[in-house]
Amino acid sequence: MEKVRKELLQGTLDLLVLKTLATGSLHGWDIAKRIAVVSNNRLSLKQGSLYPALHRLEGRNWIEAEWGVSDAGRSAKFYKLTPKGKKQLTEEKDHWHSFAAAMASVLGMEESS
Amino acid sequence: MTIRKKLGRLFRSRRQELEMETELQFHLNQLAEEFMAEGLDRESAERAAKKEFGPMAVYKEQIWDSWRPPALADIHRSFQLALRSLRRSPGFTAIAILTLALGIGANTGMFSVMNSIMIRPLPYGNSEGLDRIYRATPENPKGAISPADLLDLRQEAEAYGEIAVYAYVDMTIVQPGKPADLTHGIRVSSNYFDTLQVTPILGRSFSLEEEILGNHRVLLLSYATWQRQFGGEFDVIGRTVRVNGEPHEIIGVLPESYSDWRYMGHVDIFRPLGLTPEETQERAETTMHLIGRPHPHLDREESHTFLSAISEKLAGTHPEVNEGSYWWAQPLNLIVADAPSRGVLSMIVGLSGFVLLIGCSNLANLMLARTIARSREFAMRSALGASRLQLLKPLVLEALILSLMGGVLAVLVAVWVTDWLTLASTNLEGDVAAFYLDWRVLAWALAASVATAIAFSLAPGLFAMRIDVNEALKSGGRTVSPGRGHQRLSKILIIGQFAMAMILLAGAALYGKGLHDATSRRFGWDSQNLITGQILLPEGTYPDQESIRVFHQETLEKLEALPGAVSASISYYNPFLPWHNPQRFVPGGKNLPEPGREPLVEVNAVTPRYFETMGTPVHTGRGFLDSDTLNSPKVFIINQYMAEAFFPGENPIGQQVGAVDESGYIWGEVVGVASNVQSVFPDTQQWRYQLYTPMAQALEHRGEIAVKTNGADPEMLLPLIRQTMTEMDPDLPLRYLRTADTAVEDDTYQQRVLYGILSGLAYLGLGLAALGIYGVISRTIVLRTGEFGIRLAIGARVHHIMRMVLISGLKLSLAGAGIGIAGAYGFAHLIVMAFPGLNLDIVPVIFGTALVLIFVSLAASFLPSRRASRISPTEALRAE
Repeated sequence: MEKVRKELLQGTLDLLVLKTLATGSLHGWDIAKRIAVVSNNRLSLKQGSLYPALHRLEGRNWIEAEWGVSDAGRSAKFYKLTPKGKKQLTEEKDHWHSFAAAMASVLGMEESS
Repeated sequence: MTIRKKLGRLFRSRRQELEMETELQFHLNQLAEEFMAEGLDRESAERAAKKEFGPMAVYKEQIWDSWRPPALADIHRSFQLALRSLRRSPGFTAIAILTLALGIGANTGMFSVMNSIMIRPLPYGNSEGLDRIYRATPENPKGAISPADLLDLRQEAEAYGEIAVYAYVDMTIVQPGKPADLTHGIRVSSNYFDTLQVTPILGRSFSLEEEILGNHRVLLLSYATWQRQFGGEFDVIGRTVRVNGEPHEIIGVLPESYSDWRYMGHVDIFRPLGLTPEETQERAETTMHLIGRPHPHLDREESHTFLSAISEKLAGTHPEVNEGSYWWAQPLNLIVADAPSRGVLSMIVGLSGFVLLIGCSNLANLMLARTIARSREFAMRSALGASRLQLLKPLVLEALILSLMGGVLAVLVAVWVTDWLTLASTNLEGDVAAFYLDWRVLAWALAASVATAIAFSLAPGLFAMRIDVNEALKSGGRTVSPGRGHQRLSKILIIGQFAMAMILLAGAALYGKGLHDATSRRFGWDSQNLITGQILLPEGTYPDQESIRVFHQETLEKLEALPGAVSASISYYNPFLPWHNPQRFVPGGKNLPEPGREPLVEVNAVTPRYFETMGTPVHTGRGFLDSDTLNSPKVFIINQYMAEAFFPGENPIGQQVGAVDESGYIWGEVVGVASNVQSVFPDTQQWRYQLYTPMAQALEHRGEIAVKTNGADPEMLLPLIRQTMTEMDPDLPLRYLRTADTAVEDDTYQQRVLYGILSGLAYLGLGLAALGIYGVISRTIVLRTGEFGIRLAIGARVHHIMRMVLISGLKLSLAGAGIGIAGAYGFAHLIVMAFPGLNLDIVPVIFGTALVLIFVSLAASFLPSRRASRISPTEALRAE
């Protein structure tokens, strides 16, 4: 069961990060907080797993990073979307919606039968 | 992403790592602070933060992977696995790296010798465009040309390109207030340095006018001479020194790089050609050496056509000297090592390859054993669906890691080898035969390492791919006992090792024995209690024959009067070093051979007591007397070969022999027959016929002095001789004053270096082969413990077991030696071809070597066989 959930997370984590960054430039801690707040803590993920995802997205040139100073005055790495990332976000969102719709209709069919 | 960024990601940089660390730590700190704000103490807060964050190490690994392309990330992981596996068996790893360091190091060292001598280009501008031009005659394929021919050539050289000329000339240099120096010099045409594209670092090179006699008294110095004789002072330009008795002005100094030991590196002084009027008419004496730089638009064919046209033309205009000669050219870079030395150099690289192969097969055997021990693991992975490539990858990677580490150490070994060679090859005059490690050598080491890795992971790899999955998994936790096939593979490797060791050892022994025989042979001379040295009388002080004669006479009187001196002589040559003065002779009263077909005879001019000084016996007739002078009838002493060939079945004494001259024959009477003499050089075959003429009838400025002593300490006599010569003439340089035994040793250093190389490789090969058989026999015993236990339990005696083990080792080494003997014969023939002067005792040496090899293998298998004899039957069977 654990394995299934992890896979699901990995598939969606990229989308979550891209979506969160659509609001502006954020560092890893803020991203983790926002995902937790927006999802009402329903998406439980180890916070550290965010970082491989961030670096992976940076590697694909969907987001870019810059060192800056956090609210608390510490130096932190801020991420923001690149134009390519914005395009990707739209695509992923569409993809997700159609996937979710397809899943819903399949599951709905099962229930009604 | 920019290329730079991409490349940057290939390597995990320190900065990147620090940034990642800071980023993750920042998050952890924030988490911890949050927990503390909830009321936890610092310690529990940090623990909770770590829990919430998740496995840090895993994330880091994932982040690193995201920096690398996927293939690289995979290789990285496999690499770490291989490293871990090697770290688990440090003994194997250490032996493997050491073997590889020695094997690859020996190989790389030998390659660097080959590279330094025959691959590295000469230090001239565009040296690949330079040709050495020869005039081949029936006697000498690499002959020089005469000055008169040179003048004819120059009128047409424009069609060819640049043709530069040089001629050797010994020069006596006298600086005010310093002892005279006898130096190697050359006279060069004014375009010599332009043709080589060498520019002086100080001053200028020669102008066209300075090539004309009278303007020629200007000098260029080699860098070494400038440093040694002139203290490297900058105001040396414009200074005047006396050369051969005449004042010359120094106008320039050449760069250090110009003096390459491989080609004319020993030349100290350069002077313009300055042909004398007699020389411009000279067509018989060939003293001019040519270097050409053909026009770039000429191909090889065309430049050769030009040269053949020249030779045909000269043969037409001057048939008496040029009939049957032709001109040809060879790239200058090729002549630094002639065909035999190229052969020898390739041979030592090949032999060092044998050493590497022996090392390789040792490692293959060790790896094979490791693979067999891990066959369950391999079977498991293969059962889980690993592809062949995936099965082989860890093996190849382990091999690659080992051989690259070995390769790095090998470069150190190669540095050490070349340092030793440089030291051993530095000759009396301080000319350093430099050996370089350049990129070619490093590339070779890398290539050798990779090739080695592939070679020694091949055998275990083949084994791993053939593992029977069912069989291996069924056999439980125990090691799979190696099947017959793998034992055979092991044995073939050992036999191959011994065959190669046999060839190495026999080759070194053959050459060493031949060299020892050659340098210790005393054919027609006796170097005991003999001191020799070289003189060159300055032409300015000794302008005519009479002045030289007087000098010789007085010198010999003084030398013979020294305490401890028995007799003294002056001659063109010593009997123990090669002579270079072949002339054509005909016997009197016989049918004269066709012109150009007369036999060649080595000619030496000697003073009366030469024969007793050198210990060359005069068998019949008389030696030379003080009464044989310029005005008395011409007399000769010939050697036994010449007497037998010229006057078969007759008494040679009183017969006439004639020297072939341009105008006919110069006849003289044979007054004695001397013993045949042979120099210590094994690889220079001289003319068999030797002829002596009285020094008084053929006086020359240069000569060899020799003093026979009564056994007095040479350390006492050497300074006395030097002092006597200085008293005779303070301007007289004396070169190479040393005992004859030292002279022989100094002049055969190259051969001894080669012997050092050969024996070093042989010992290394033998050691590795012994190690190999030791390892394989030890392993067989471990594998056969159960069998031996049973044998002992049913009544076999300990010595039976030991005999079985020894015989199995003996069989391997006998088979190896057998194959090796065939190879050694082949090798012996190579040595004979490369060194025609060596007398090899092929059969006894090869069989002696085989005995040594078998003894070594017995010793190497005896040690493990003792372990076999200590097997306790009960324990062995219990383990079963």
